[in-house]
Amino acid sequence: MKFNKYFTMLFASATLFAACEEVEALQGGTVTEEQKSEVAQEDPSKLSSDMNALKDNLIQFGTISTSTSTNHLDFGFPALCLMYDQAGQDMVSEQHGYNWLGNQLTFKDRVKTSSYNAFIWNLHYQHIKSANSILKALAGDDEPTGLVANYIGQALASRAFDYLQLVQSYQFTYLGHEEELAVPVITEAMSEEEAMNNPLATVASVYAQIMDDLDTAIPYLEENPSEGDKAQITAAVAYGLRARANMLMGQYANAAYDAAKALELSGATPYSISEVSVPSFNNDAHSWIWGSIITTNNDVVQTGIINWPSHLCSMTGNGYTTGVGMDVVHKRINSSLWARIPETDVRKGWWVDEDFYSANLDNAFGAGYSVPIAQAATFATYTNVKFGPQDNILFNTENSQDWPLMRAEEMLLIQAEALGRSEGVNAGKAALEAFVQTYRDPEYTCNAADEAAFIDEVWFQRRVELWGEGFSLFDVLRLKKPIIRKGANFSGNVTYEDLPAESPIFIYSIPESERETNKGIDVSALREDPVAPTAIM
Amino acid sequence: MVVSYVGMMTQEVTVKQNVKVILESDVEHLDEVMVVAFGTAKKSQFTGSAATIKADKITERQVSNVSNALSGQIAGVQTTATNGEPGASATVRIRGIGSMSASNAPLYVVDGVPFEGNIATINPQDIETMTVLKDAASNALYGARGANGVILITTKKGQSGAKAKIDVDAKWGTNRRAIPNYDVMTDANMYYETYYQGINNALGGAAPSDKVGAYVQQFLGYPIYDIPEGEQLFTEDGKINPNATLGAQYVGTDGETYFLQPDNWYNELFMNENMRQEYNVRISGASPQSTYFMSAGYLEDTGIIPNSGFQRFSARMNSDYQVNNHIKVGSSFSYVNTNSLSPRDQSGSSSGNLFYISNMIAPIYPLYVRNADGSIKIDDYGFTTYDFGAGEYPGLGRPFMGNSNPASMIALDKYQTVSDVLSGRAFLNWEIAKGLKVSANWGVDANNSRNNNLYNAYYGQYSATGGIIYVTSARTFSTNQQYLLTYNKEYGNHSIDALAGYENYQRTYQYLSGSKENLYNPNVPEIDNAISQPSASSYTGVYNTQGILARLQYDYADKYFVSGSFRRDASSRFHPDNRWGNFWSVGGGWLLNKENFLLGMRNIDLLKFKASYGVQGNDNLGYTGLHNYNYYSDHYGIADANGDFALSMTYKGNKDITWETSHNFNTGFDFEFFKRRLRGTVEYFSRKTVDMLYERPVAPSLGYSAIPMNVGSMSNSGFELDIQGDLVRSKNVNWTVNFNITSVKNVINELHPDLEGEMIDGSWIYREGESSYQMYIREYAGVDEETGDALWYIDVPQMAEDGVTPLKDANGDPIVKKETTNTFTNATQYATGDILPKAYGGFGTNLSAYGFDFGISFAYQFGGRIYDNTYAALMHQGTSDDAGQNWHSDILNAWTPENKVTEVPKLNYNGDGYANAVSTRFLTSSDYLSINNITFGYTVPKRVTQKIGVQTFRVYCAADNVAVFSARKGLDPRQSYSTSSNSYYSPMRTASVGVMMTF
Repeated sequence: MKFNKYFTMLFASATLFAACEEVEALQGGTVTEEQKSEVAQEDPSKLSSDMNALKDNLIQFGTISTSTSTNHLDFGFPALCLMYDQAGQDMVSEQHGYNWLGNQLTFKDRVKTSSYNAFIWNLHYQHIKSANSILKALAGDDEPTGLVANYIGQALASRAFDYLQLVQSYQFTYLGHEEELAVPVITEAMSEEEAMNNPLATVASVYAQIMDDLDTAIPYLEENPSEGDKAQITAAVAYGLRARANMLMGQYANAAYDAAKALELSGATPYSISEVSVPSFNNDAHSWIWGSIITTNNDVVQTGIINWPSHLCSMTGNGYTTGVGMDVVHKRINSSLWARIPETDVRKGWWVDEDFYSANLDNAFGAGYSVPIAQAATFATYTNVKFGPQDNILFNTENSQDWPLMRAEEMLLIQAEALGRSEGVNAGKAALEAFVQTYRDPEYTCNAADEAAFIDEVWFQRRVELWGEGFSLFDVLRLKKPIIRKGANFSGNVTYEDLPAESPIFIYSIPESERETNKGIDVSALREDPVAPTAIM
Repeated sequence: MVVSYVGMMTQEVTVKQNVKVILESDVEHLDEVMVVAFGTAKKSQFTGSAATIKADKITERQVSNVSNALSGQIAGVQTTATNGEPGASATVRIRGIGSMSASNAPLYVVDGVPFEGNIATINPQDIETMTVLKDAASNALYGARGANGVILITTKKGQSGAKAKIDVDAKWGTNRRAIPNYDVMTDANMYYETYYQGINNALGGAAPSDKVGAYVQQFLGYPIYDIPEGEQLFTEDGKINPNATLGAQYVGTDGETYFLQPDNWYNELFMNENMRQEYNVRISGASPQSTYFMSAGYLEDTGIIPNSGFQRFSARMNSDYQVNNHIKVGSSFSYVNTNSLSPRDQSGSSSGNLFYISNMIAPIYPLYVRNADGSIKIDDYGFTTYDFGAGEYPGLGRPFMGNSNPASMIALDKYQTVSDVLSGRAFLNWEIAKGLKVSANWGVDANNSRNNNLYNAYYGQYSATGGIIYVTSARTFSTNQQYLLTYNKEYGNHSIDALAGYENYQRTYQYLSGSKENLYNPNVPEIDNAISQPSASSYTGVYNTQGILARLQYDYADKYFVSGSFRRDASSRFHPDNRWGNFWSVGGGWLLNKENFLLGMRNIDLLKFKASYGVQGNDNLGYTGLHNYNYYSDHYGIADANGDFALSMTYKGNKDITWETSHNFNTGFDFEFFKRRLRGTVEYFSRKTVDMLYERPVAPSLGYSAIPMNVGSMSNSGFELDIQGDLVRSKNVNWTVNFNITSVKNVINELHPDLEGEMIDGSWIYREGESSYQMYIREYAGVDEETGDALWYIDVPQMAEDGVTPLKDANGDPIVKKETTNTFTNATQYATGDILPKAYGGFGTNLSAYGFDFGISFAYQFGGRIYDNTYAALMHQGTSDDAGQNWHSDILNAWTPENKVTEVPKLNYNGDGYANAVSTRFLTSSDYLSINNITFGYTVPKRVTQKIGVQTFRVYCAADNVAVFSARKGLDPRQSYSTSSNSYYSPMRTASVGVMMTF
């Protein structure tokens, strides 16, 4: 029949087209799970890409920015370090003009609705997710060895790092608050459903998880080392993290042991006096045990000004600090803290003085250059020159400086404090003096009369040595210190009556996005948002 | 004698001298043919819901993008436009919002082929009709993509049997800003004094004026007042010292002397000349075997800010040829070239946004850098020197939007997109036997565009890097094939019409972009002109759908009509296991006017009852970039970890995700009364979306924030009325009016069971049984008369007598008492109720008399609310974050000890910054009435023009987008359904004159 013939012809052509082999829908910088598995089958070396997420999550752009709203602090973990330091007493900047850290200066980011609060939360939990994915993929082997063991070790230590940061941000310090509710703990064994019904764990149980992860990770990493850059987690990093945790838990002897192991295994030695008598801390160095390696290709560099040097380095050629034409963004040191640094200490030059002079600037760029540089870059007094520009080129427009996550100096200071607390002040003093005299101030002696004074002295050394690196707020919380801005170079609009130790405003409320979606959280048991302090003016 | 004419009722008249015959239109026999899915249908037989806009209504609007011509024209169609740039598209919504997070955009079909390109590349003058298909009966054949309605665009063709004719059309006009600025402060003294009040309040309300004044000057920067030696800027009562004068010399930290004075940014930036011009030529005709249509058009539409505009050159050739008695072939080709200048950052609160900055900047800052004598400084390159607020006056920085000056950036930066759009259609119709026809339709669309984006090397953020140049090339290529078999047969009173077919669509999108910094020639927007920081990126995404389709129509005695259609469709966006879906519809129509009981009613020309039901799909979740090509897999982004790969998850996929399905019911009447003087349609519709695609937020502690899933359902139901009337219909005078109104109610029927009937997403709440457009915000409770603090409501749980046991009601819910609090974050968030308008529509009238014609058209909506973002921003409290940002003049009513009864809280520099945070205080009525178009024309009598060989000669003037009346000056509720802000390119009012000639 005629009809049939045509009909067959018509649909034959149709099936012909339908049978065309399906073209890969996605081709480019976005890879599907299936494409990823195919690549891994063809080229197993690409498996390390998943491990590298542990490095990349800490320096990625886009944790909280969306296609319609860009947050210029969205440059990964270094932003969190800046946020913590800005909300304390050691770092000064101005709460007007184009300073992205105004919410931290005024403690307005502690509330549940703050996007900065969500930033801290999302960054760490994304990082935890990357670790959990690795752990889940590698689960099943009870006695892993070789590279598998190393990967598991890295993921566990990475996760411990996140929980240690989170538990200190969302609850007061361990000692005295062991039973308070902190944050939810997510492990690789947890299903999506369980994670959505996940109550807040107590401080003690978060620490239990941290210690459990580190205790497992350390032998895995120690027995199965792998090659990698400083961004990779090694046994030394895991020891260093456990040293931090032990300090917080009051396990001082263990902390001293772990810090020593971190130093021993990494072979890291502090920056020498000459190395830090010029702007520095801009490139992976022998003092770094762990650090984020940032290169030209990274998104945070490609964004131009959404990176840490833009907000912290006073000698960048393309950044908020030098680009806004006024002295509002520059990160300065508290003038009374600076006044306590002896003239003989090399760190005196990490900040310009009241006459805009810093020996470090002159050392790096030529005698007499301090003041012209300070003028060209609209410095305020006490502006930091601790963090150097990329490749040490003045006003370099590329902001691809690396970021330190754990330095030998921090381990030595942990060791000193831990020894002082566990073996007596004199043991501590000896360790402290050995470090400071060799590496910072040859004339240094520690005059602390008792343990409390010694702890304060170590704290002072930490405030100066680790300034800008994200330790100051957690030290205030751990040592239960007040925040005092009066009597220093803070502007009137960010000067408050002394904030007593453990003020509710020091820590963050659980973000609203988590409260609304995690049914396991008893919202009624959460604190009301603390009210930000009012400026004295 | 008998007089007859096609489409007119035959009349018998008595023969006498000078008979004047007025023929009456014959509705019984002249049945309008309308374009429907995969073919055409007689209007009287059509069982679905569709409405058509014809060429005259389209070309009347002076729009460069045809989507803007839909405003107010068709019942059930609502348009919004956030971007008023020349050539920008309107957002079109048909019968409400069918989806919570998937795309709500209708499918455009141009000459039978789905069109996913930029609608601005279609010349409105080439369009014969635009038909909006609203219900399932009319668009179920578009299967997976029909759920949000379909807009069929049919281009002009030659009319068989018609004489060749040439149309020439030219118009010239100018564009002006259509929406005024908000009522902001324009007086420097007023701003300074208000800012003073905020600092004084922070200092306790009675601080010495020199102390407060010093703070004011420190925070605002820029000492713009010349103060006599030894005097203060402020008097003790906080007023500007009458001896102080505006404009002052300033010695910079470089030792140079400058002059500081505030500029009116708005006036400086928006007074540029511009022009809109458009020319079109169309030639059409026919020979016995063929018809042809050719057109060429040129449009130049200049924006209201510098370096903004849209240019389009278009050419089209449509022709068909009757090969023999059985075979007809045809093709259509169009080529369009567009050139769009579109300054960056003109949407959103960006420092480059001219609209935003000129609206929001306090009236105390200079736009220019001035020499000591007050003259504007010209730099070494000959450019006007603008103040970026970043040390151009050495030592000074502007607190608001520092390091930016949109005027300079728009003058020196370049942002240009050129596109070549080539569109081809071909068909073959073969009548195999009587009533049996095979047809094949092929369509190809190619769009190649290239964008150059240059950040200048002289000023602004990128001057440090020597400028940046980005060049992006995007290529979209799509093919569409249809093979259709149709059969129709009549047996006596029975008539059937059947269709079966196959359709396949494939689209490839390819993106390539590169950039470098540090330009050699600062004006050449090409990458090779620069040397530093090279960067490149590219990707390809492929999307395809295919489906088989069938339709059967039956009618009895031209009185009863039934139809059914079916499509089985697949989309590559879903997992192979969940890729195929079935879509169908049934419909019926009944021509009541043909029934005996109505035959005697002389005033009823047409009365049709119709009803339809069916299901359609929606496969577009609307993600950006490659995420929109695959919804089912987890996606990872590739990053560089110090020379090695790093893959992190960027999207959480879901294998089970599939169609969003829309169940659509439609019923109503089409009517024509009083010799067709009153025509219209009244319809009820109910559109229920099930398996709604939506990104369910998950606990961020999972490490990602959302999972897409098919969850829940939502309905849009309502009434539409569309009527047209001829008030006067005579030889020399014709007066018609039209009116349409639509009322839609949006209800969420069901959410994911885990959500227990309620989902909160930021400031929005989604609750079963309630509208999906409902905000969840704090409720403003006015001002504490004693302290001047802003207050919000808070639900305080009531306790039993022991003071610790919360009281519960019968349902076990806690009993609360509504109190007020001055702490924003502690205040309770409440659902606001539906904020969508209760009704919307349009109306208009056309009057023609003795060669003159006049037309006016309006659009309106009422009964809804909108969040006025700009007003909120302009009502800030004067905190440190707000320094240099302008105020709405309503702030003058702020609380003071003397003015305690007010809705505006006190100004307070040390305020927590929440005084103007999102609350019901800024939820404003979204009612509006807009005058879309006014046209006035005159057609020179034929007897005059024919002498010079011209058939028609019409001159006219038109004003388009004339005005909008809304609840607040500056507020444009047409921007969106939820929020409005002035940080977008403002819509333009166009005034034109034009000439139309037909030869």
